[in-house]
Amino acid sequence: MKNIRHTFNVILTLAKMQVSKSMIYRYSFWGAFLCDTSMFLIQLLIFKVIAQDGHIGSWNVYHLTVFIGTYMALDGLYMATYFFGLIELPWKIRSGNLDLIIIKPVSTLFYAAFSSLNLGSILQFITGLIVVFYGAVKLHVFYVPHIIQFIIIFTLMYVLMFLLMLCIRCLSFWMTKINSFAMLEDTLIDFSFKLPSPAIRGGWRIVLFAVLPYGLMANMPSEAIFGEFSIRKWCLCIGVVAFFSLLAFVLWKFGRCHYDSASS
Amino acid sequence: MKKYVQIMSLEWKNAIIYRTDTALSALFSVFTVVLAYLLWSAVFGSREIVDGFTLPQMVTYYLLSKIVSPFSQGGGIQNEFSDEIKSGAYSKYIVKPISPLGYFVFASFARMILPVLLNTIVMAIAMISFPQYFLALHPAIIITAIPVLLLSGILSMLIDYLIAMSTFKLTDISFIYILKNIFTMLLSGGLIPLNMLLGDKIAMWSPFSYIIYYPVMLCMGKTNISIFTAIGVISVWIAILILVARFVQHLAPKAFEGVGI
Amino acid sequence: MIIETNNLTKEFKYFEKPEGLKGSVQSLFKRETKIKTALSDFTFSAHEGEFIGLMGANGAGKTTLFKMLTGIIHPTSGDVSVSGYIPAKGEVAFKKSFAVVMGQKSQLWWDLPASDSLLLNKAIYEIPDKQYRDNVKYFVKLFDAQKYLSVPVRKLSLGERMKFELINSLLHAPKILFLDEPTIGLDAVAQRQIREMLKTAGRERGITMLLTSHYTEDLLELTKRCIVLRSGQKIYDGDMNHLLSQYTTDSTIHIEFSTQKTLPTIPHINIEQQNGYVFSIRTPQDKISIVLQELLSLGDVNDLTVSDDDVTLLVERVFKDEVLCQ
Repeated sequence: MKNIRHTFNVILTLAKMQVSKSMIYRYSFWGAFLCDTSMFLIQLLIFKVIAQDGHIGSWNVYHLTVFIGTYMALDGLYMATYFFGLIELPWKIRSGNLDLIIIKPVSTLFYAAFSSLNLGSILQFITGLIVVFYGAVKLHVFYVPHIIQFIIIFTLMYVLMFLLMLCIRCLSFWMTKINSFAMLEDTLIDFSFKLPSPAIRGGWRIVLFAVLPYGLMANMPSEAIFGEFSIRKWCLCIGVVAFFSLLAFVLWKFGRCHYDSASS
Repeated sequence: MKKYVQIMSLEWKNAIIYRTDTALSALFSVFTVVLAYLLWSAVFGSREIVDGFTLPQMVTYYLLSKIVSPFSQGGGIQNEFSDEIKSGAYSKYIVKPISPLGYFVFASFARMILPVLLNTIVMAIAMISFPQYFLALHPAIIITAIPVLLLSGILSMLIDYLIAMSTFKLTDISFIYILKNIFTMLLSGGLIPLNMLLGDKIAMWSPFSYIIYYPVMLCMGKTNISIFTAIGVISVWIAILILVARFVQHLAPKAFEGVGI
Repeated sequence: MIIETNNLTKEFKYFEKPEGLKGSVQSLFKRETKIKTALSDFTFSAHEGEFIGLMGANGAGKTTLFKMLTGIIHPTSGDVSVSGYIPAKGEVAFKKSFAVVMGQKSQLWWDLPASDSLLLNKAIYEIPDKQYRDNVKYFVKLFDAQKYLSVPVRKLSLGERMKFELINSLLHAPKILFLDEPTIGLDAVAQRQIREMLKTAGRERGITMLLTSHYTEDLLELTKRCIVLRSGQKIYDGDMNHLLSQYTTDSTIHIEFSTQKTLPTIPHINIEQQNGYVFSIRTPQDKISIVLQELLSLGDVNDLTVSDDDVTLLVERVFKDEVLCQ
């Protein structure tokens, strides 16, 4: 408990410093906001084009609204918190800058992951939630049990994203360059958040919901708020998160033992 | 010229050192095509044609886009260049007999070629192995697209170079790159075919239309614009950008603060 | 003992790549794995409050040793104990017992004032408010850095930045301070200031310090005990001055005559430079008096100086493959 409080205090201090730092470069501060907004608008545009006759499979325009809103919210939250820290992790491992975190009496993993907060993306997170709730209202599914379900599953998927990103970045302990995996991840995220559940069929459902669970991440929060959430889906979500938690833990532990630290 | 060829050789060697990563990048590029197939088969549903594309044509569009996309992505050199300006290492271009523009273009070109070659091999294998999912392509037409691709690659490099040089004024330009990449992917047809986005209002005077959309449509035999028109338009844009780049390059030493040396 | 190691060894794997583009393509399919032993069977111990210098050429294993003592990397074999902890376990209490300052890697936030980085350290090391305020006041005064507290780090000179790196590292009252080339790149004045401050801080706070530096002045002024590493092996552990005195074999006599002279044959000398008026002569230290008598007997002496070998030259001899006296 004490460790958790300590880690939280450190992350809070990092957040304050990050906010101070981001305001020094004014163009970057507003530029980041512009990037987030542009990406959201482009995502909307793409969906308008691909949702021919206003639906994809059995999902109509409001299902797709919730789907897009979920993407926005998840994207905003992880970009605000651990995204940039994890993106920099391979560089820190390669350059030996991870040394400076290892020597500190704080969790190396959480410090590295949360050292580059981008709090401007919180706005995108909030906007995403508003879009989700708008779609839910239009679908007449905006009930408390559905919202609670959504929050739990959304949180699980936020954690899952962290674990997936970490698993890939841990490969840097063994491989000098992991651009290929980062590119694969980009592709999977990019397409998964355009692939609503009705589009994923057959064997690909197993691939994208269990093996490379980006499809799971993109769709489960939406399905939670639609109310169509069976015990099977709960088990799937919890099981996948548990599996990747174990995998990430093992990769991180073994990676740390294998860490050679670059020569200075 | 010899020094620039040497630069290209070094960039090539650098890319080959990380052999596992290089090979996996090519292999994973197949995923783009697979996911595109999943998405578009849902979009198509029971329809044969959507906005002038059949499903095999749509999948082929994404396959070809994936092959040519390294031409528009710069290979990371724009970030390195920007860092050199911030750190003071840009001084090497001032004191040595080497043009920063020349270095940038040749190094970017070298970084692009390997992924393009590997992607081509992997995608060709995919097309041969699963011909039912793709449109049959004519090699002769593909060869005619090569000059357009090379010129559009140079065009993209020049845009990246100018953004990198803006570091002299703006210091932190990471958001400009992100914005540039977002809009380039959209306006070049990398996210979705331009005709689906813009209908018949595609601006064929725009340089972005020639980075992905035009070369891919040319390979698929789905464009009315002649290759000479395309080469002409791209060449005019390249000439304009080179003039701007040389002007910026001339001003650069005056704006250079040389911090951190 | 605050630090103890026993047969500590670290090996690294690396790949050799043949030259040229052909070699690069060949290495795509096959490449040779080699092993480099960065540190081999290293055994030593340190008492509390000691100030120990680590000497060695580049690649001797100094930084590798530091990294194993601080838990950054894990040993291939052997035992290590620092403040009673096993570094590789990375326990929080262990990390609070030491600090590291690396001359080539900054721990300060580049765009923000140094005071913000100090606050971050306060949160990381859970330094109580009063201790934090007292330590900031003490060390900022000691390092004469008051006026730079609110200046963004990127605007500070290298010397000023290094002062804040040291202040940052000492705030949580570590028992051990690892200094990895702290004066690298600093001018002579800044180096001297840092050395004085470290001596004072070490003495007043009883901190055990381990220092690596390529500047022999750092090692001579700050440390009494010196460990010499060569190719990953410890070849000397003892008094620094004693070590250097073993390598001081000759002295150099500079003599200037007012009239042109031809030197007679004098045994045990080596004439390094001569132009008939000015002579630079090397002679073993135990033969100086005989040689001086011979030179002075020539008369017409305008100027005469006798100097020992430059410390850097002595260190070079230590690093090379010459007999090391214990």
